[in-house]
Amino acid sequence: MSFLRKGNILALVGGAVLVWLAAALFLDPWLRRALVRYGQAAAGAKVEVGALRSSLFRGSLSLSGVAVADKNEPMKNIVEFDAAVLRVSRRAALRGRIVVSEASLNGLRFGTPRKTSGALPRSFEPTGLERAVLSRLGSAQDAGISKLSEAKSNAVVELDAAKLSCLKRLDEAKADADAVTQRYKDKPAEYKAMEAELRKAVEELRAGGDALRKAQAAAAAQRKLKAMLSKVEADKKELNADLERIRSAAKAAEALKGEDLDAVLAAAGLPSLDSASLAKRLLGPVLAKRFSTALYWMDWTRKRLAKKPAQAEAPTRQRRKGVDVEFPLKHPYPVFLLEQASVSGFLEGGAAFEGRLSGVTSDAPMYGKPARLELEASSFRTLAVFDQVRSPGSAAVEFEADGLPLAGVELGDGGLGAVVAEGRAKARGEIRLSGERWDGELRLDAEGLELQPRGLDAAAPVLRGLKRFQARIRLSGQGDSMDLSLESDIGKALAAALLKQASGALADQRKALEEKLAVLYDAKSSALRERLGGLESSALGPMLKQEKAVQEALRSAMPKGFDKLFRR
Amino acid sequence: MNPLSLLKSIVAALQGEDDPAYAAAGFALGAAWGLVPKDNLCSVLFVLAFFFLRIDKGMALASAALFTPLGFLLDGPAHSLGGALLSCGALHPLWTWLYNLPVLPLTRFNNTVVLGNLAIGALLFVPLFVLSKRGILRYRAAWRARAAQWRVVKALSGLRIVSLYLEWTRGGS
Repeated sequence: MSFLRKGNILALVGGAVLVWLAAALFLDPWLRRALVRYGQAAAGAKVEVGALRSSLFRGSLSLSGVAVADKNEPMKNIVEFDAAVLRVSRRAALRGRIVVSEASLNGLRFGTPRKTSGALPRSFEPTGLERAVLSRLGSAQDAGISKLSEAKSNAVVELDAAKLSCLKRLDEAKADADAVTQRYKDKPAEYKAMEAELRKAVEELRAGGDALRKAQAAAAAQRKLKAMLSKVEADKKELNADLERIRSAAKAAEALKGEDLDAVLAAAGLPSLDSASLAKRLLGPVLAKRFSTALYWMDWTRKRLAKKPAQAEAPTRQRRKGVDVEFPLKHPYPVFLLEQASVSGFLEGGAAFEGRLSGVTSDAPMYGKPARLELEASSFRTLAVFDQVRSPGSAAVEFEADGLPLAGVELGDGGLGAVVAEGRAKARGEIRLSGERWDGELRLDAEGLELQPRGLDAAAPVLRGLKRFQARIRLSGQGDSMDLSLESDIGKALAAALLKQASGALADQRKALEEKLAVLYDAKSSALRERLGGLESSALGPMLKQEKAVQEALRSAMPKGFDKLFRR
Repeated sequence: MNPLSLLKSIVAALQGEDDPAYAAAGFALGAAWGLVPKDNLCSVLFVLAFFFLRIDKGMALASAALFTPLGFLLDGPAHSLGGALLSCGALHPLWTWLYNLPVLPLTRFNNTVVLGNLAIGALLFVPLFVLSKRGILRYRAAWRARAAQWRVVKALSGLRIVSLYLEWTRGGS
């Protein structure tokens, strides 16, 4: 008598062979399609994978001919690489984890041209971050150059204060400051009452009694004082946010001054020739595209590396739950981990670079190390660190590149612009992201330029003679409301030359207007400054004083030896 | 297996000449499967065991159907027993070793209810095997001849129409 069914064992072996055959035939195409689909959803543009081969037994995956198109410039690839080989830990895979212990990425190139468009049939909406960059850097600025030929030296221009948006913004900020002042009017009285309570609490503590009584009194006083402290801290936080909002509005008003001047000049048939607007018109579009792409990918990477908060379980009916008892794991793995990868490739100019990518994981707190990408060549260095070990996490990208080829880059537009026939640039920059706040600066020094001007004839000699320029982009703030500024000497040079052509009288007109605007603006601006100063001294000052007093009282609210028991 | 073939299989096990050990083993193993929660690899292993072992599948399924509601009733004691086993110091190295093995944690052996029910199933296996084997032998001695005359048994044992129906359902599935 035998309890084993040999026929069924053979059937199972046959089934296993069929499964293996199906995996051999269909797994790679399926993985390739999944990779393309996921890649396209992330990039918002075409992703091509030449070939993909996987081996379940060896635990390896190799990819070749991978290209990711740039959604902002569909005839270019953001990144392209010849081959990638990944070694996956089989031990971790059997626990449902993907751990890439070793990988290599060869033939990596950035910004390569494409033969066909990389745009997808379905267009992807730009993210808030991209919209912010494109609108602040990439929006075309006319700078009144279309009126250059109509410039009249005798134009009489008067300023209408009601139409100036910078003054409107200052008025709004002042109204806001008034409302805040009103809101904090009763705070001093409130704090006085609080002070009396404070004194009472401290006196109660000083009263005699046994140790137990003292400890009880200390605990009660602590509770009271902590409540007071959190109230003062909340008030301080709110006031600081109010002050920050008013200061931002004042800053925005300052920025609107130039735009108002341009608008007034344009209305009077005079070219503004504002150097900042000219620089933005020439460099804005090209820098905005690249900058928004860089920030998008930095943000995308940071979001993917941040550990997702545990999702609340769906309210399913669980009748047989029990308790899962956890035991120590010798090798705890995150769901995804790429321990290290060697990277090599070529820069746009053809120079070779090498580097290393490490610590890319879905669970940085468990892994305990930040993700790092280091790339280095003789004329190029970049270091990107995405630290999600502790919430809210941070990301920083530093880079330095010399001799970046500029040939073929289009500056400006059909109305005013140039194509770079020759030239190289030195770029240096650092972008940081702490939580949701961006900060950074990018400097660009272009030299050895040969420009082929297009559009406005008056600008052609200036552009043709331009051999070098510098540009600097600064960013700070959060997402949609990020502040982005572009400064460049290219605008100054162009404005000076155009202004010279449009006669000196134009400069006088502009100067006169600037003076008139300054008178109106300074009056309102100083009133706002005064109100802000008043708020700081009348509301913030007492708050800080109160906070210090409560903290002091909190420290003294502990009898000797009890401080460890009632630590905050 | 549809309900009719399940019934036929049970009748065949009781009325036939096969060794009663196969039916008894099916009953005992089906009981263990019935007790264990089904949302884990453990349950799949039971199904594979039915597939590879020469046991009476009809009896195993009938027993599982009988013991599944009992498993719900036994969850409380099973949780206590599983908890006691999982927190037993002497067994801690064993559980840790199993927990570190690949695939095995998918059986959810570290869950108090799963382990408790598995233990109850294992404890009940031998008594159920012995009792059901004796029961079948006793049935065959005392009841088989009489039961063979019952219409329902006749129908399930060999009526042409039932066989045709069973063949048809097999072909259709």
